[in-house]
Amino acid sequence: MFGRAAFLILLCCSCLKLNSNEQLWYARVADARDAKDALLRSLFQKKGLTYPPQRLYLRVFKSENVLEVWASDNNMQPFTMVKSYPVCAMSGQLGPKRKEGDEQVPEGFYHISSLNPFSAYHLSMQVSYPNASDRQLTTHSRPGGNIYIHGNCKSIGCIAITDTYIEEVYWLVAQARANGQANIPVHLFPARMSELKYNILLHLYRDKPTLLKFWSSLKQGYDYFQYHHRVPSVGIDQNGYYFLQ
Amino acid sequence: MEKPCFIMLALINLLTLSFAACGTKPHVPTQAEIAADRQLLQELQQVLDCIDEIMQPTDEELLVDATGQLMEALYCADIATATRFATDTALGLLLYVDEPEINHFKIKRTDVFTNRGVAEVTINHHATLKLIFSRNSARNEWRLTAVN
Repeated sequence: MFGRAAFLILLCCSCLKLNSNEQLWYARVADARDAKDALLRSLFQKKGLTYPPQRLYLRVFKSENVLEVWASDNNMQPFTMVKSYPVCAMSGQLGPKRKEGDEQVPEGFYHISSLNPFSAYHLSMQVSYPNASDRQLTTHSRPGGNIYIHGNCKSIGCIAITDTYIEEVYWLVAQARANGQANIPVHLFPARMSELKYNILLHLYRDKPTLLKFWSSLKQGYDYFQYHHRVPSVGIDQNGYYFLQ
Repeated sequence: MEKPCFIMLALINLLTLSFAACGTKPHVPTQAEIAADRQLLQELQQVLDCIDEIMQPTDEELLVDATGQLMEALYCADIATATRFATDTALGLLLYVDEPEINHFKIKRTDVFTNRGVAEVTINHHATLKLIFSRNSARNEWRLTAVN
């Protein structure tokens, strides 16, 4: 009796192991894999990266309407850019989200907090907004939430990258999570914070010192990744601004 | 005229000229000389005008110059200088161009209209932008007002 039960448990475990990517139980994700897996595999091979992905890093530039996917084979290796996706729709203006309903796309250092295979916008990945910085710097008692990177081309505070592209990014993220990367970082910037663009921001927003102070704290993280191709370890000071740890 | 007479007349003329050259009597230019001088001055003035025209940059050269200086300023992230050649709105539009740095630029062509100029620029051998410049009058500097 016990032997039979143990056998069944072992069988179930092995089945689970075989289907370690539980996302494949969902039809849209399975379809995404069928449609995109070969393409992504070839992309990773061209870049000299292991596939399925081990570690991912996403970053979004609001001005440029770009979502970049970077990957690395292990903690020791720097990240390599895999693909840059055009963002189809993104509501709001430059500047962080500070209250519920402002339709702003947040800016800051986040991670993918959950995956939704039943999204109204095909597939969606939740961004961990609000973080500690947002909660401290919010101008309202309710900072809002439910910020997603999703399919389709509509946005109310979200990042819409069309159905075909979300299938690629979602499937990569699902695999990286299945491979043990619990927190996939996603960093949202107002623009590429190069010297040129940062100076343009400083000039255009010269009468908004609070915003510039916030962007200056974001720039540290941008610069670190730009130089090292490694995800920065970012802390949040007592005023809610980011700093490199 | 007989040959000896001709020689005599030549000698007298020579003598007269020698005295005049000594300054005893100022030379009064003849009408023909005055006309010749006037003609020479006119011709010189025409040459000077021509040189002046060559030295004056055309509208297109001015536009190329403004574009070049703007791109140089952007290349150096020198926004203070860039604002001399670009409006804030145009600088803001540059944020939307997905080129983090400008490592190289090339002015492909320019089109000049009365107070509107278009400079087509390739950045980093990659992105081609249409920079639209405007000016209030022909005497004013070109300023970037839009980016396409």
